Amino acid sequence: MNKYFGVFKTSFKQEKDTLFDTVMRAITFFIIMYIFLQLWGYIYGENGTSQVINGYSLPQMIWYLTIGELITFTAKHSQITRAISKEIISGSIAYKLNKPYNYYLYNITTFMAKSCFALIFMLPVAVLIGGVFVGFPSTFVVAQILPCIISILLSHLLNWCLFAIVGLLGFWCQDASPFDWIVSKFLMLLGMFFPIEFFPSWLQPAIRYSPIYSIMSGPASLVANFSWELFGQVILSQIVWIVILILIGLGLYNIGKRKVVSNGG
Amino acid sequence: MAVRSNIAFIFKNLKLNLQKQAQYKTAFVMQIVMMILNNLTFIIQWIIVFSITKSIGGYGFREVILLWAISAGAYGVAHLFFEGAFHIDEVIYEGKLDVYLTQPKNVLISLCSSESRASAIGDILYVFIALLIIKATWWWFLAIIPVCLVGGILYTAIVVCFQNIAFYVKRGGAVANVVDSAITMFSNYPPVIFNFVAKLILFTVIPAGFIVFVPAQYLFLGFNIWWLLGTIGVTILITILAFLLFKLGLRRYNSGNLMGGRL
Repeated sequence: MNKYFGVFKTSFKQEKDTLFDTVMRAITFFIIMYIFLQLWGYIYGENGTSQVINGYSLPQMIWYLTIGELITFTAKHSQITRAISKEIISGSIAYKLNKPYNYYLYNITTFMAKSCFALIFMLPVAVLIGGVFVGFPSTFVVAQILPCIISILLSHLLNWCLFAIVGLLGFWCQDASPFDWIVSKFLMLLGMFFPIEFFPSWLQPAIRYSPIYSIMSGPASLVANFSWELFGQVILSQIVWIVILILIGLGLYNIGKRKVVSNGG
Repeated sequence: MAVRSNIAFIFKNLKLNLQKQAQYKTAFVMQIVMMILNNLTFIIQWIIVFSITKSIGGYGFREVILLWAISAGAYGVAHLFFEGAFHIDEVIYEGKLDVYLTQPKNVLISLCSSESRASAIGDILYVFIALLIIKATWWWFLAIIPVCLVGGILYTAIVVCFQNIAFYVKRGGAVANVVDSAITMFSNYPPVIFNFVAKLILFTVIPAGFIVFVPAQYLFLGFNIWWLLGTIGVTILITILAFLLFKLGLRRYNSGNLMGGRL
């Protein structure tokens, strides 16, 4: 465990070099949120600003989208997929096979450090956007800050576990990025854009018991509509999915690494 | 004559780029198919939005999908023909421009057309799929071709203008990436939702409004020849500006003394 902590610390320090890029990403994040603010402001405005749509008021909706976008921005999934795919295709993964760590867990730790660094800058931007433009949700209590941060961090961890698996698919196909697109689009469509309540009732259970809920809808609705009961549900689903995905990832890596020989190393 | 020669050169580069990528057949086809699916997912997003509200300032499902079709087409053209334009900062930063400087063709055209993104074919195919979904009239299928070509050139030119910052600032490409994201994001939403300041930016500093909003509003949904001619004028102006800025920036370029060649 200590070695992964060491990897985390080193990767976190390395991220200082990307400070400028992180600031630029924060600006892009702001632009996207500005568009969403305008869009949803218009939709709620046309139907009366005090209106509640599917249980969400305008501030709740904006907070939901802000957290969803925050997770998308600080956990840039395509990076891990591309990094793993590139190493598999080039054969440079062979250099990491003899290292005293598990390649799958190493990647998750490295990218988790990147996320934590980005969160330091993006989280205040998110709070600023939500707080300044629509104010805090009516359900907001100070005590929810820590549980929400824990849930957001777990959502990042789960995100990396999932997309590292997508990257490992590179062992079987030359380029795993098309799978990355599909999985990320499911996350966006069924998680980031809309709360679970916006989907048909027959689809809601499928989303609720999928990683999409644990990565996106869960933490976002927790911030928008906090309750301790919801917190318990979200955390439980996140922990269960983290365990399941790590087991799948480790299994997949053990099978896939045998194919490295055919690449020549 | 020079224009014709450059166009032939761009197409030759495109052919070579695609042949190179088609070596990995599965990945090549998958990228195209997945991009179409990727774009189709956004249609579901709008179905959900329009289940909440009937229209957004007069823009219904049909009009919004038209915006997405034009946007995807311009994006597809830019990334298919001029993918290199989106990596100018990397080439400058790594001192790899020498390869292009020694070629007997225009440096910027050579650099921009040196790469093609296979998935952009998916974007271009999606344009026609989107038009089929909204049951567009026959002339929309024809009219959208020049619209996407002009939009793609304008989009590339705007990105090149901002990529030139990399000649002066170490991580200047990051600014261009923000502008690139802003163009694609703003173009996909009905213009009526934006306030005056946002619209002003979209028609001046980042003239993304000309790529999607003008052709949608003044060719497909209504007609105004002056706005359309204005779009062509803006495209020519920004393209000239991109060439001028690149030429100016080249004076600041330091070679990395890197031996390289293009295969």
